[in-house]
Amino acid sequence: MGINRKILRISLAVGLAVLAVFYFIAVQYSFTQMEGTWVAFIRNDKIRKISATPGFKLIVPGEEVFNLPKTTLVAEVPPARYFVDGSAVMAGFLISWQLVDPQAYLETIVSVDKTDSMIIESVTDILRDRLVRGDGLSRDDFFALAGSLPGQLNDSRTVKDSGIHIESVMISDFSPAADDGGLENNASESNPLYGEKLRILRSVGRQWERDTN
Amino acid sequence: MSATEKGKRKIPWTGILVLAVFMMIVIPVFSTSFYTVNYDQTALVFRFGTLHAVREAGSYSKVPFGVDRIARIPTGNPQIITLPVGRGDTGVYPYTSSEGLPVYVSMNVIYRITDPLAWYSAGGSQDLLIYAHIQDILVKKIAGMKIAELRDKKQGLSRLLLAGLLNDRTLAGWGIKADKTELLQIDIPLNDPAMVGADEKIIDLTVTTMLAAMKENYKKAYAGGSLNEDVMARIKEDGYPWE
Repeated sequence: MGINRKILRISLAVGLAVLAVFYFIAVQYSFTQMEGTWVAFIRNDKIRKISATPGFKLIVPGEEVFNLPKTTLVAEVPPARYFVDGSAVMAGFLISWQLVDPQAYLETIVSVDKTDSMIIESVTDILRDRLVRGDGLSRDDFFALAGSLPGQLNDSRTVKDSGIHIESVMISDFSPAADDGGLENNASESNPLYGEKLRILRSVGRQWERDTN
Repeated sequence: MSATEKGKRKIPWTGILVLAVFMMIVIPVFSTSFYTVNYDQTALVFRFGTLHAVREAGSYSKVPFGVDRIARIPTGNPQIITLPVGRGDTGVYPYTSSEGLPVYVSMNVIYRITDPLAWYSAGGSQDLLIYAHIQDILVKKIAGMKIAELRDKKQGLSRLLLAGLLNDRTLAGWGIKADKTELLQIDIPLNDPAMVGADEKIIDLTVTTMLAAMKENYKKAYAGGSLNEDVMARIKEDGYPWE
């Protein structure tokens, strides 16, 4: 009876120890690669392997793991001032992109934030080059230029080398830009002509309210 | 039982240990082995990261300890995106009409998730992608129309956009289908900085457009009899004041 108890205690202790070791290994040296990701295994600052298939993966001690998205991501180019049809407009863009070559991506860019900055810089360069000179473009030409941006970006050395692919460029903002003096919301102070006309419109509006009440 | 006997009573360490091990195994197993999918959801079950099953509403069991992971996709309820997004004090970005005037247009786009896996694969950027895509369509459509046209064709514009979205392959690729578009507002933003800073031509055009719209309102109100009695009588006698 005494021996049985001793065996039971030892078995339990061994069982617990095995469980603890298993838990430690499971947490420290394994992970699940999910659908929609690439995983890069890095050892001594060198890419040892890039895995594209989801599943349960083990990590060799001393190895670092980078999760990279296969999914579509969006970079935002904030509204900037351009000349379209001879007038200033504020135009902003949202750009969808995908990582297609994780090896090139890791060797050049490494982070999504840096990719966004690179895309914003490339788009701004292309647009400024075409739009800031002279009177800029007509509206149709501007939209056509926006439509051609994915091709132009994908052909550029910077994008090619960074292992990403630009899917689409979407115009998120296209609004008339205020003149530098017209940024105040007080119409009559910043633009006397407009202030006068605004008063007429408002008096017509008040008349309408009186006539329909 | 005396106090001395109580003090000598042995603590059952073996029993406690067995119970502890049992609890350490059974509780986590139990707590991670079942899941529920609500009536308005579809669940994607990933086993070791690979899609293993697609489940509709109900209660299910799964392999515990994170082997099976569940992603619940809201396929039952319609999703709504309101355009455009806010800007500073004025609240919305104006669009630009074909005359170059700023114009506030706000609308709801109601859509459903038709392909949960495609939706899941878009990986968290779906709302932004959908927003950007619809905004792109809206910017280009509005830029091709005059303000008067926009105001007249309110319903038409809404239908036009819905038709465009229904045939849109990009949205289908993200696993969604547009159900309905609701045009909420079309207005000339009188106090928008762009309007305040505009040149004379734009300001004149705005005033002309707005006065024309107001005249139209008077004509409709007169025909519908919704003006005050004295105004109705005055128009009957003298005609519209601006004619």
